Amino acid sequence: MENIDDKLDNLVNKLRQQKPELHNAELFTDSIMKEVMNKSHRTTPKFLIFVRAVTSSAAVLLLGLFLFQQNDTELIASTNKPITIFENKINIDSLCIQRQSNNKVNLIETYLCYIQQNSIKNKQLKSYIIQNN
Amino acid sequence: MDKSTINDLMERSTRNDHKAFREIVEGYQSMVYSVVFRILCNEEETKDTVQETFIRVWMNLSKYHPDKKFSTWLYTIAINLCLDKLKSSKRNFQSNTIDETLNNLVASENIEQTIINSELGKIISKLTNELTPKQKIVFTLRYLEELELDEIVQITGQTSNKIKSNLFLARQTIRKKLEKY
Repeated sequence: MENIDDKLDNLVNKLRQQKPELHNAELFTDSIMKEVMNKSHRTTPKFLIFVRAVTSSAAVLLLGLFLFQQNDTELIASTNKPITIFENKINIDSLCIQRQSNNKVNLIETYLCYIQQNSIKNKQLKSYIIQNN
Repeated sequence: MDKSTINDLMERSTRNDHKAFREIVEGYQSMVYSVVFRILCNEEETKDTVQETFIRVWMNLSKYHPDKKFSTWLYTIAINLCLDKLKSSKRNFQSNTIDETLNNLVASENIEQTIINSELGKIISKLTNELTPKQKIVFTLRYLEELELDEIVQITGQTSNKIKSNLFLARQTIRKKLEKY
């Protein structure tokens, strides 16, 4: 058994010493460089980076607004201060649409208007539930 | 090539400096050729793979981390290409080698070197043709290229235990083969 191990080690040593040689190395380098000249570096396009940044920021902003709105509603419900429902009747949809149609606000502001009005609606609904209980 | 030189050449290459990249190719093509030939055991395939390796290096220059060893990164690219070739083709060295050797001899300007390479390819191929692609790669890197285990871990992405197991199995397979002689 030891004999075979020796034989193997001997063979591996010989193979290690005998390095495969690259002949015509300069010609080979030329052929590699010829191929390389036709290729360009793989870089992420700047436009893609910009789109990624914008969409990520928008997603974070919307998530933040959603959490803020939820938190606000919870706070009103826990204070247990009843607000008389329907005392300030606001036609939410018409208000936001009206503001948008008058070109006073852009799309984001309209969205914020909806969120704000929904928040008021939620507060009114909570207090109505609390009053009835 | 020391680390600062290679980092400087890489930096210049990212700025589309072809001369700098040529220096890298000249400095490392023999190293890549040697390891790829010992794995694929075929001169034409080796040349294609070495070329593909440097094209990949060129296209992914931005992915190189200067704090890491350049040769390890280069080995990783070359070894992955070899692994793909070993896996994709059901290689039959015995039937192909004679035709290819003759073709190479006819085409070659350096017949002596072609014969040496082709004989060497045949011997390594005969010795390792029953190994799995992964066993063949770790055997070549450890025993023929004499790389440290840590570097093989980085190149192949295998754990050190897995590499040791592959080396053991590779050695056992080759030992069995040698028992006949």
